[in-house]
Amino acid sequence: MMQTPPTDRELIEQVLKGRQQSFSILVERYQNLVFTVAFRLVNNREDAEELAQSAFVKAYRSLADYRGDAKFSTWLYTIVSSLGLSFLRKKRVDTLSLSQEKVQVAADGVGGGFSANTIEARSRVQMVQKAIGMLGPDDAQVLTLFYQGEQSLDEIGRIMGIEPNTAKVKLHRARGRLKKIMETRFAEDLLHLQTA
Amino acid sequence: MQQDLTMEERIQAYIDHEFDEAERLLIEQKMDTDKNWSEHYHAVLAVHELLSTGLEPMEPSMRFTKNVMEDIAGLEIAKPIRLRQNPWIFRIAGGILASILLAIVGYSVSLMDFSPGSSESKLPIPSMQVPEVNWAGYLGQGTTLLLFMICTILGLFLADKLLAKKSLKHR
Repeated sequence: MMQTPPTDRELIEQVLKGRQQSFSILVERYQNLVFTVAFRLVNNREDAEELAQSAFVKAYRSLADYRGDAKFSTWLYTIVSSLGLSFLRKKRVDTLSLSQEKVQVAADGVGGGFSANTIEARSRVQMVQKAIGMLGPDDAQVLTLFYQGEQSLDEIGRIMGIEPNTAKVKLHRARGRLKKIMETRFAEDLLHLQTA
Repeated sequence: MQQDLTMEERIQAYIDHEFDEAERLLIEQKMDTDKNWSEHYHAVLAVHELLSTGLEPMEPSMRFTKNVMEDIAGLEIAKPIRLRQNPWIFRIAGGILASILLAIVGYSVSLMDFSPGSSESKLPIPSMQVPEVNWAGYLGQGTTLLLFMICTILGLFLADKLLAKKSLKHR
């Protein structure tokens, strides 16, 4: 008989009762998405890994404070997001707060080597990842949380400390900016997708 | 239809199923009759589909879980905030403060002369004699100034640390 995997809630209760090993299941369950959210913020694998690791350690330390009124993933992303913002502030990473006008400049600056042939050789996934990498951390985060993290606008608002309506506006803008990048840098692929 | 939205915003809202049936029909009509709307719709839809299907979560290093488990090995789970903040501490402190305030107000009122024509209060105003110390005579003017500057900088530094800690806790 197939055994159903333990729910997040069950695992948390086990950890709170002293079974630390159960936390590793939670880490394995969420490490990819936590790492992705961290990467979208800092745009660097090494820093993202450090950030994701700190987020899990902080989550473990404060596990007793998780009340269960939100999804565990939402709570976890809130920790990553807040740590990420502190990290960005500390490291003074070039946050490129991309306005509509700046998107064009950034896209032009980054993609020097994207000839039509090179793009064709790239997979669709790589192309989207690259395009998201050209966005500012806020835009990249909102798109990642919505499309990959499967978070609702309410949950995104909670994670980013904003109103759900503001989250909606941010999502629309981020998608608009991504569209602009796709149109300028990956025009042929976009055309191919629209006609496919 | 919400008139303050741009064409692109309307199309995005349409794709996200944020409109009611009447508004959806209106948008569909526009897309059927206006080439510009139709082109925009297909472009936005392509991006939306790319994001829905073309994104895969990234993977951290193979050792990631092991690293986290090593990091937490010596750690204990902190007590929940609601237990760390005993409400009785706040109640008792509030009670003491309120009693002191009441005692001061009561004492002041009891000393007031409410008889007609009286404008003088019997409330004694405490005064303190501050001794005149000539610091410059002991240490020299330059050294005193330097000490004051160091104290001020230290004070500001400590205040900054305290506020940063508080703001971190708050977040």
